[in-house]
Amino acid sequence: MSRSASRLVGAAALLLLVLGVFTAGVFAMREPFALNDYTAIWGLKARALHRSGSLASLFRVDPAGAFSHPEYPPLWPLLLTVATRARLPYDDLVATPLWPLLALAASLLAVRAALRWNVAPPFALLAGAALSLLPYWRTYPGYAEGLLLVFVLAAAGEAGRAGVGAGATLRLSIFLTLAAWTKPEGLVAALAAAVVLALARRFRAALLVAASALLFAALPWALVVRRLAPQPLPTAFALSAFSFEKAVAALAALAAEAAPAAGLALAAAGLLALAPQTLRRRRMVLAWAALYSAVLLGSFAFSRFDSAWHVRWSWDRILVVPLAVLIPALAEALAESATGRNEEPLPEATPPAPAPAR
Amino acid sequence: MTPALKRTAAALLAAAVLLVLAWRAWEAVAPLNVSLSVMGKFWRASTPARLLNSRLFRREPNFGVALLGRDRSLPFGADVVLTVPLALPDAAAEEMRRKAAFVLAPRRVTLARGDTGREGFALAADPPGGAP
Repeated sequence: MSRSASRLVGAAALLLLVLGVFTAGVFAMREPFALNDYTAIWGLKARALHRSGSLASLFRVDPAGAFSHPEYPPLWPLLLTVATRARLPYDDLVATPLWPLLALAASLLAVRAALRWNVAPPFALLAGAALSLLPYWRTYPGYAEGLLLVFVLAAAGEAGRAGVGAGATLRLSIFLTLAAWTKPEGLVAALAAAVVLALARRFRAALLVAASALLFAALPWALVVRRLAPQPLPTAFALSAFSFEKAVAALAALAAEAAPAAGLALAAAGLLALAPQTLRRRRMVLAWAALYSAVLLGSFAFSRFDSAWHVRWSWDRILVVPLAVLIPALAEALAESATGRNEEPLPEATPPAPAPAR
Repeated sequence: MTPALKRTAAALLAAAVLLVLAWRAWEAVAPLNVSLSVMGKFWRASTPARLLNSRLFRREPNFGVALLGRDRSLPFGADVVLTVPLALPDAAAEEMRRKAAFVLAPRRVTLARGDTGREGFALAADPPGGAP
């Protein structure tokens, strides 16, 4: 690709990134956060924490766990509380600037992940632009996936060197542990990463990621829930709730809900199909996205509610996470097709093989 | 597939996706002057006015005003009973409870059915007399 074409792609990408973050900011900041799950879960908890200063308040507002999911990890409400600390009483509008900041951070982390995968800078910038333009930012302001996306994309930037460099493995573990403190899906992200690392024979990295998320996020929070919840909390899923009919109903609902986005999904699949080298190099990322999506979408067959309703309520917020992680790979696929070059990553530094014993 | 054809196909796919996403992003805030005007009004308003004009209470300002009044008068240690009419559907009643819990946090809000008069709801401290 010529230098001028490369500059043109870079300028267009920068313009789109600015548009994405700007529209996410205007959409979120033009009125206080007040959407469904923000009111019922995240904002409710942030207000309770802000006013009481105690984690126990997360359980007092809804002791039966009827609507606010007291068992969800508390990092996002804590961040909302910190962000609005200067303003008394708690004010949902003051928290809104967090939203474009998260969109910007997630976009820059997508750029960073693409650069670490040796994608040329203009195409890496396109990954950031696509991330900022995801409809999620303008559909669910105030929800916790915004923070989850930041941690998962930060982890994606480390995934390539996890198990090779000690620093990368540690950072991957920390980011995924923070993801597990953000939403239950964050724990799924960490465990799916551990499975994929194990399949790639990076056993120490797999162990560290899984152990960190379980020991430093899931376990301590489970102990807090056990100590503070006044009664056993209901769960949205149960093995005993499985039925074949539920699985079929969930699948049908997913197909109906996702149909309007089929064009975008086909375009993404087409981009990957045009870039066989990217497909080969990013098979771990693809495997992670497939595993994460399969686990979470498969869980609808075990829903204790009407599974079709459950799908309609949450399918797009579930799939935005694997989609976001695939975006740097899509930018890499575009770069491969557009430039015709397949830049293999530099070989990792490995110690020289010992001389054979004589 | 020749490299040129592959390049063209990839460029077209990427451009189409990005244009659709960009258009949707713009649509979400268009017309921009209206969005910015709404933003300006909210940022200049007081905290109670922001809450009452948010999408939470836009259609039932009386409920919002009553909740803000209770929020000012009740200590955080008191809990609240929200009474709604017998005929109100469960989903609507639950929505009212969630709004009340949101405004009154960290107090616990429980739902009751009964006579509510013309307002369509009643708020009381639980136990009665929880108000200072």
